[in-house]
Amino acid sequence: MTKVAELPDLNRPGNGLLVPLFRFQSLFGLVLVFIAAVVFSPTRRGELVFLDSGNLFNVVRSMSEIGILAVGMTLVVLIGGIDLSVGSVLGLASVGVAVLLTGPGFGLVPAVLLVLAIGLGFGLLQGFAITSFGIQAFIVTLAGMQIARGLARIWSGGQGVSITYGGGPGQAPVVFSLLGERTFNGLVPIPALIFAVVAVLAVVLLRVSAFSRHVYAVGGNEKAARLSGVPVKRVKIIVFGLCGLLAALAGIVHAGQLNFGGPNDGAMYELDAIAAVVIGGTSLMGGRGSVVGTVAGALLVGVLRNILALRNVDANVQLLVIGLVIVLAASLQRMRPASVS
Amino acid sequence: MRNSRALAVAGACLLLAACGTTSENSGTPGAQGAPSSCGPDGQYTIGMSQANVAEPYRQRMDDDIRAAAAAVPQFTVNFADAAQDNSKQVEQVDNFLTQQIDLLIISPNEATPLTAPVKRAYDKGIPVLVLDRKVDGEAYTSFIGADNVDIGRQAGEYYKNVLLPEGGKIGELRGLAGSTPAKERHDGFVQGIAGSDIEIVAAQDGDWLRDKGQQQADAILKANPDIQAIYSHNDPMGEGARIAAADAGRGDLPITGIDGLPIESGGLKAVEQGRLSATFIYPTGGAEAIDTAERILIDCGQVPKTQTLPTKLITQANAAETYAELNNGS
Amino acid sequence: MDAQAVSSLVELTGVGKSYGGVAAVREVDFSVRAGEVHALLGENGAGKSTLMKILCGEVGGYHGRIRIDGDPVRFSGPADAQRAGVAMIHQELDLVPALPIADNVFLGREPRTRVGTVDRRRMQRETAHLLDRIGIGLDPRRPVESLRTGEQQLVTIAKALSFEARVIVMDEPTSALSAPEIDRLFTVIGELRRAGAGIVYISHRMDEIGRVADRATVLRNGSVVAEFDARAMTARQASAAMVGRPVESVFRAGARGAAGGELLRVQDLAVRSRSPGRRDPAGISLHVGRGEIVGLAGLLGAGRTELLETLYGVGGRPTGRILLRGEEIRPRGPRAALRHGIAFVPEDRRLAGLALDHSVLANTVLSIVDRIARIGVVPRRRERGAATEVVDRLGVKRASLRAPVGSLSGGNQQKVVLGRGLLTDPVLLLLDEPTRGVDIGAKAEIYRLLGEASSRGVGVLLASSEPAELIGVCDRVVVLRNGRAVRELDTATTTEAELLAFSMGEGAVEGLVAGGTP
Repeated sequence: MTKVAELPDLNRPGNGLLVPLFRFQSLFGLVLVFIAAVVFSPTRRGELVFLDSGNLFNVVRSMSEIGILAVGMTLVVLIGGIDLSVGSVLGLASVGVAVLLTGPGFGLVPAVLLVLAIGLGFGLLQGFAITSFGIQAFIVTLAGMQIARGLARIWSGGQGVSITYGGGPGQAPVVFSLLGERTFNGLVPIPALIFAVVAVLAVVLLRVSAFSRHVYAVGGNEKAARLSGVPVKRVKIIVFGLCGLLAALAGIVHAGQLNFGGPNDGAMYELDAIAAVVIGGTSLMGGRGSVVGTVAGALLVGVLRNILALRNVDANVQLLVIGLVIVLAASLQRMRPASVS
Repeated sequence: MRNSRALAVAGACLLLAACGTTSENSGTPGAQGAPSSCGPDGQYTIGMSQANVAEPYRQRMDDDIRAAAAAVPQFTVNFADAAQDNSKQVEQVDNFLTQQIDLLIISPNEATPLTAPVKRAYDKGIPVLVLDRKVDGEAYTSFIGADNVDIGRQAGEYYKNVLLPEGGKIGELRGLAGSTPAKERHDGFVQGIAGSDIEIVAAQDGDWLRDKGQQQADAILKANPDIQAIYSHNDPMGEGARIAAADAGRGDLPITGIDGLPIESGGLKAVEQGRLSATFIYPTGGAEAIDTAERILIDCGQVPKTQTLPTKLITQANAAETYAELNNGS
Repeated sequence: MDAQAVSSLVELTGVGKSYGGVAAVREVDFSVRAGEVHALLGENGAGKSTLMKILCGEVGGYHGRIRIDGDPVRFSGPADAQRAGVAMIHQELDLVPALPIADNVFLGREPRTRVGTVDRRRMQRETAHLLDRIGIGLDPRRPVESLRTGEQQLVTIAKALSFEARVIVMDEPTSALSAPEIDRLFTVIGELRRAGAGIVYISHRMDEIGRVADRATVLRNGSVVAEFDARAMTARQASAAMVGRPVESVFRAGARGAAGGELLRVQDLAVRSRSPGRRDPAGISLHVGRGEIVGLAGLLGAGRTELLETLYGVGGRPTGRILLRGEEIRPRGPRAALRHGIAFVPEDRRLAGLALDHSVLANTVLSIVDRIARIGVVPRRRERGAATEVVDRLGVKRASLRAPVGSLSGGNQQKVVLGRGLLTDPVLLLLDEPTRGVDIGAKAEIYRLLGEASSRGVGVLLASSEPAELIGVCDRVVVLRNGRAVRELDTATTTEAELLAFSMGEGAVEGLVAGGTP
């Protein structure tokens, strides 16, 4: 029997302590940041402001849109790509749903479906450009970012579109205003529920489906995947389509929360989504990572921003802190031994 | 399975969240917009939610508030900046509510998205002062700002009577679409030039920013080399337009702005040094806001729904003396 | 000759290195004299690479002593070792594909002009000299990725030569070289010896060791177990020492010949070539019967890989006909080929065969996840079952199923790639250099698997540059030259020399007449 080739320390069973640290790096990080937030939380009338359930649900609500974007971004990053257009597609979708609902003749369901279809189509087109013309994802989605932004501005006529509710002309169905509401005792925000559903579906998809194995394979070694019979082009196009679809969903949620379709909204959100993905432990090289990690990463960023805001830390220092966390997470990723996947 | 461990940890965190304390409404809630407690003996925390500190006008607004609050020992003011992002500003207002501030001052990025959070604060009994830009509806305590329509109209009349009495073609640099001042300064201006031969042949959005203003002015001048003046909705965009005009070889093109901030890089200096032909003072309302807050929180008094601040035309004739006056004043 | 009387150029005494309590190298004494070629043998995992990494400064934290010219040294890193005159030519070509040959050779030590910029002309000139010395006339401005694997290997040799090292470690330097290129390399080695350099030659190829080396040392489980006079050593002796027990003949004995019926027939297969680095088929006809193992011989660049790729649907659209089980097929890609029942094991398992970070399980079942999925969902049990079955059949430890495939030895990695193809239940296996960089034990197992497959009726088309392997394993060998099939040989009657001769050309065949097996 051949002996396994020489390996560095961390792969030996004896060093099992470090292995879980890497595997769950973002969850550990989340717990750490959560504890730090509790420790540093300001108090008001003897109670910790941070732990106020209204505040905690605010945190989840504030990260819901980014979270939905980040789930889509995880898929794209897993195949070794990137999607810079998600923020602009969010803006386009928020404008779209606002215009359609306040315009003549569109009911809630057709409007939502149409906007989701636009997001899906946009993503599929980007995927097509990337696979068929061989242009890098970075460049195609950079162009997509501008195109979507332009479309958003054109569709809205350059102005934001306000949404009012009721049965009259120019008013959206009252049902849509639910997106701004909270259920279960007035605590759980609807957007957070939507985020949770999207995340759970994605986790399940990525664990049981044949498609997910294809996705990981394309990210792990595209050439080997193709030779193994994986339909690489098709997988890539679908992944970008899904990312666009989720960006549109986030845009619809966005419009519902603000009662407003803003053509300039969502600017730079793609960077927050990428930050959540990186902090969650997904490698930008592709082939390694998980949605669970991304969700934890998004929540981590949310908790961090919240505690810094509650302590009235200067906005610029906040940016600094988040940037440092990203670098820390990325270096942990690099130090990770190859056996942890 | 290793991932179920992960899910368990995540579930634990959520559970912890659900078990968090609920102290939303401790203390007796006041009536809408009226504070639950007031008087000279209390300590009060004020939250100031700003739309975009990158604009010099807004930085000055924050500075004015800071300076005025320093003179009131009972006030602590916390500042937040949304950097032109609606969602971020909503989040910041919600954070202020979590911190249970006693009064909210807000200059919203855009009207509709910030209407709901402002209403939330108002319905909780927290007095809300809206500065410079409006929200929809009536769920606020007091609006403090200059009358942008009036300023626009005065600007239009200045063009009609003084700058281009013979009429002519002009360009317009607009503020961020969706913010009320932009709309109002435009509408007022159009009223002001009515009946003259002045025509706005080109209009672009400069988003209140100097660099954007320069880019758009570049484009306007290239497309319409024969325009005779540029009406800019604020001073920074006007300064940007001046650079563009110089580049296009029209260094002495008349350009007017609005704001007139009494700072080194502000409109008053620009008019004094000739970079802008004229500007209109647009007071920040910062000092007035603290004043109003004092009346509500310390004097337990009532305040009017709308407080309109005055404006003034500034030309080279009175630029220097107005600058000195505003810097030596309160 | 008393070894101790002649002073050594390099001497390792009592060198040992452990990783986490497990010793990779144990109390090894190893020396190289000036002007000597010292071969180093051992199975994968025996400690050869660790020992050499210690010598070349890539690994530290060892105990024992290294002396160069009698002076004790302890390198702080590879650059330190290079300065002391020790250079290593790795088995994995560490070249930057996008950069030109000259840039690769002088990477990190580019000659500068007086102004401080890179002196490209001097760099290219010196590279051209080096390439000349090795006997390849490549343009130093060509990007490395446009070269064939064998040419790339020669570039790494040129790079090592440019260091003017006195101690050169060569790790499997001939694995991708053709016979004349190997001859040229040995000539260069001869020059280096005369100049007083010492060479460590790591290889599995007995015939080469016999030709070029003076001494041969065998490592097993991290220790030195035997030292031979390289010229007198036999393959049997070496294998026995490496494995620790007498070894049966590696190649399969037993029934040969087609079980019956034609499986694959290729007629006038040609592809209009578009890339400069490829030798596409230029009109090849051949056939493979059910249960038959047909070898593809030829020099580097003869077109073996390209033929296999064309049959698998990768590469350009071919003209001509491909008939599988009597039916004409036009495979348009790997997915279609797999559906027809054709499986392919590529030449470079690291680059094109495996996702090294992913588990053995994931890599093994990748080709069949679609087939075993029900409404898109993959049943865990079936997935695991399929992988376990294959892994058992291949002789890979079950415990490794979860380990990243990159942590396995070369031989086991190759088995995973083969296993993935076998799981698709193919009727035709296309193998491109399936035992390159694979140790003897794993080689034998792979041959056994091929034998089993062929006895089940699977047809095999096997491209190899080891004549011994072709003759030992295949029923027939088709010799390719310049994209054409020039000759078919029956392995029962042909010799390695004859094979080589036909690969090289008619002139070489005549030279054979004087004869005798090399």
